[in-house]
Amino acid sequence: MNTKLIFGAALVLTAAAITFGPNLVQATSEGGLQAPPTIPDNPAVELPVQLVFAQSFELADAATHTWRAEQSSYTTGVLVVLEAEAAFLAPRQTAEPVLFVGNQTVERVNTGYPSGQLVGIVPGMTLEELADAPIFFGQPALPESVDAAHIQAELDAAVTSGLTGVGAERVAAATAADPIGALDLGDLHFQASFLIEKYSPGEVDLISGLRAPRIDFK
Amino acid sequence: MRRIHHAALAITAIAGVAGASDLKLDGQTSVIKQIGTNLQIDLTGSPNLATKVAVDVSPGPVSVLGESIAIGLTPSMFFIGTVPTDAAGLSSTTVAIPNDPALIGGTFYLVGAVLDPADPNGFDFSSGATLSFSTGSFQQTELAGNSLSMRPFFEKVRAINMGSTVEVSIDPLAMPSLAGQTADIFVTVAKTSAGWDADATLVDVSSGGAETVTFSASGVQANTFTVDTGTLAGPVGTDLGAGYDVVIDLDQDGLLSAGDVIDGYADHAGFEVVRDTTQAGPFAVSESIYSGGTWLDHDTYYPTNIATMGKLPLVMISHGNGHNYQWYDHIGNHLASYGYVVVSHSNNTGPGIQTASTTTLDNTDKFIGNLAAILGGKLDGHVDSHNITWIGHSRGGEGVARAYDKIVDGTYVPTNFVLSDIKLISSMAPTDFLGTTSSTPHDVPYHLWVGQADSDVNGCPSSNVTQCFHLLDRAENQSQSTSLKGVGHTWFHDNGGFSWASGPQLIGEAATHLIQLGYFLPLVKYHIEGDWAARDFLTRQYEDFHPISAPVGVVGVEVDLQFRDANESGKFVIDDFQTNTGLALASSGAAVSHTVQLAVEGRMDDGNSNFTNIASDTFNGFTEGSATDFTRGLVFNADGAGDYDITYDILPGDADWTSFQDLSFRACQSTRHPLTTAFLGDSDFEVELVDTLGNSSTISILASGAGLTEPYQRTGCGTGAPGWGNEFETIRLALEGFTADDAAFDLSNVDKLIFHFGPSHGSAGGRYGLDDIALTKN
Repeated sequence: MNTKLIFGAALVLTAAAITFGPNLVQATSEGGLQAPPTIPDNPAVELPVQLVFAQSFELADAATHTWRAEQSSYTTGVLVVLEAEAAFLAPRQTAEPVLFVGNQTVERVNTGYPSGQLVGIVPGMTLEELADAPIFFGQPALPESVDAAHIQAELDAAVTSGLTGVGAERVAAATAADPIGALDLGDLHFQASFLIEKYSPGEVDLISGLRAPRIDFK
Repeated sequence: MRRIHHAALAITAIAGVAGASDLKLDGQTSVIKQIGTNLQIDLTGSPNLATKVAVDVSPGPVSVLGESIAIGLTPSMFFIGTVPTDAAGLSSTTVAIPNDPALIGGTFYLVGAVLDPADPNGFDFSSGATLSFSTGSFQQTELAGNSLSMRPFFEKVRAINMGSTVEVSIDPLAMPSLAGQTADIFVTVAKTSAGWDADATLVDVSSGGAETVTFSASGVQANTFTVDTGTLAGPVGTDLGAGYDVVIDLDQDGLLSAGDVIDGYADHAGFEVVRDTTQAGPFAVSESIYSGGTWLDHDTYYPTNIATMGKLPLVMISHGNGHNYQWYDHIGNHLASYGYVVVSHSNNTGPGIQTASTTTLDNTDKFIGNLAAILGGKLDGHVDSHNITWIGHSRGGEGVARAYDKIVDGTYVPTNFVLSDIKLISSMAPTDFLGTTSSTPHDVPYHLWVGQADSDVNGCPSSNVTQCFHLLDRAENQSQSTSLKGVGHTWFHDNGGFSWASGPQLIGEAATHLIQLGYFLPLVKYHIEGDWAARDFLTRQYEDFHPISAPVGVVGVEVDLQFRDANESGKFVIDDFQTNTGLALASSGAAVSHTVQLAVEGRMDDGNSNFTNIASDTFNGFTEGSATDFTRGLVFNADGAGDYDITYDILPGDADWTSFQDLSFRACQSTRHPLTTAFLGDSDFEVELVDTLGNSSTISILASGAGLTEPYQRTGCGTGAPGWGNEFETIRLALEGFTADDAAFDLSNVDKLIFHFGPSHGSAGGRYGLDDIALTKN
């Protein structure tokens, strides 16, 4: 880990400790996370998510949305950059809070750690729909097991908790580029790597990995 | 100095008074022959005369017709019909030695007679000759190993680290004919049996040359000799070890010959001097990163000169959630430097295990199917798709087991490989999201890495997801594990960053990697290449034998190993607690009795969500199974106030243990229990065998290298004294150790197996788990 990363992590830890207290975030003497922080009971409220950037996309070849149980195909959607508490974005192997935009699960492209900036894909969604869609973390689960009924229940609970969409104005402000045209999901990942580089530059291996030279497999 | 055989002395003496004719057996005056072979009898005398050869069980001499002849003329004497002498005065006859085992060990004494009218007695008696029988022309047995400070005082081994002393030992009770004999011990470069048959010359390569020793009848320790001080050359190329044979040259003729003893002359060496498995192999490695499409990104490692090579085994690495496929350079470079093609691929773990497992399957299939396109076809024709290892980390570690299960279930049908091509699965700190029926390695050899300081997949029973050992105990056939205290979740990859490590005496990423690399090499060599010596890395306790540069004596470094033999290995299960589940009946069908306290058989699944010790949670700290798993074992107390035992009766039909090599079982200490805490530290006990005549033999488990380590002293996951999940270790005791220095005990008639606990037998007390008691054939 380079110096820049260590410094960034230390900053994030400081903020996390202030926000959540020592029971939720433990730091080693080296400044790295010692253990995944405890997920709060109501992530939708206690782990707020902000929209930073949005850009619609279209794929020439349909992709499968592996991040929900129906495994539906899609060719359009929105690429988003979301901001959240970095410590809770540090990847864990146990179940993570599922990230929702309205009635859709988000495919996380990067980890968002330690930047707190998460690049995600929201399949099938338009910018107009994004304006009205609450963006929130739901209960921990494996996204591949989350179906429409589950999503609706999470969305209902989030709305009940007072969450709303960010609004057209905020979406418009966050939308700064023309729609992306991509060959397939791999190509979209490649293009997302530039967003990761901009918003979460510490994830250097992910960025370079998404830009690996392409060979056409049969 | 050469020893003059006593039989030769006798023959020489007799020859002095015998007649002019001469008798030779295979050209010698004394020979040890293998039953079922031919014997050449050459008798010389005057030409064209009838001959006879007398055979007796007594060497005599007796006087006949005024001559002393070298046989006893007992009632057992008989004659061998031999041909007349020819014009040159030679009678040459070949006789077939019956393939009768009753002959083995017997010795006969022969004298020839030429019916010579010119002789005053009418008979020209020859000098005598001696004929003995053996199963072979020489004896094969294990000789090389290390001395022990306790009974059985010596361990026979397959692997000895470069730079380590090599010792040789015999048990004079097992080889009584050696007692009193002086011999030369040779350490030679290993040869196959064909190689020895072609050239029996002994060339010692050890420090100081061949050792001349005199064996005694005074026990194993008196018959243990250092034959090399650590100078033997290590392996060349990619070999794990350099093979050596040990020969006890009893007739000191500098040849492997009849009567000698050899450790070797088989499909493997007598022993191997093994390399530092933490260090890179001989091949320069090239690495290439490319993408074959969505979730088909590869970081591929291969020997740079692969174009000159044949087909190399394939290793696929599936990373964990939020990890990256470029974070396994240490494994990729290491194994590629020994001639493996390693592909670490992007793994779609975010959605879950089903998705991750599909990614493993797709990447394996696509890689094999696109070799012509990858790296300009550089690997095409050089990947052995029939020898595949899957390594997975965390969610990817569960994913590789699920991937195998998908092929078994028929829910995924690969195009470019089949199920039997997967030869080994190794999971590093795997999750268990999918449970009993979906995340199972079935019958493929399975290996598990566990970090006891892991704060993510942490082993706490608050969730099935975090209990790595579930997958190990679901393995239906051969399995093994490597559990590391003081190791966090992320140290299995090489990205640094946060450790996900919690607990005392953390050892860090560098030390973790030394242990990883040191064990990955023998693991794949054992399962992929069938490497004979590699097994020692997997079966011998870390304290007894470990990769040369793997850390020892470093605070926090403790490594616990389990190894369960394959079902088809010929092992005999005494009790695995899976069948005959009552306390009084073993899996073997024999009775069990015990005086240990609070003994309970049951599913090895912590009964609640924490490691807090409470009386109702009988299997506290056991994380081998979930509520739907079937793994079972025994737990019990020894309170320190006295001695206690568990006694297994052995059925008469199972009493002969001479065809087995080891007594194997796994045992552990139970975490946070007051007895564990009261006697905190490595714990040991004794194992006794009793034969049908009541003779007994006892060995401490410390003879295997160490006792049972105390639970990792980590807090959390409940309350109470420090202690994390119970860590089983496999203990192996060589059965020949029970007969060492013990003339009375009969391994062919074992009546009871007794585990002894308490102050008279080792540690004063404790709370223990016990499982998988078996006799193994290795």
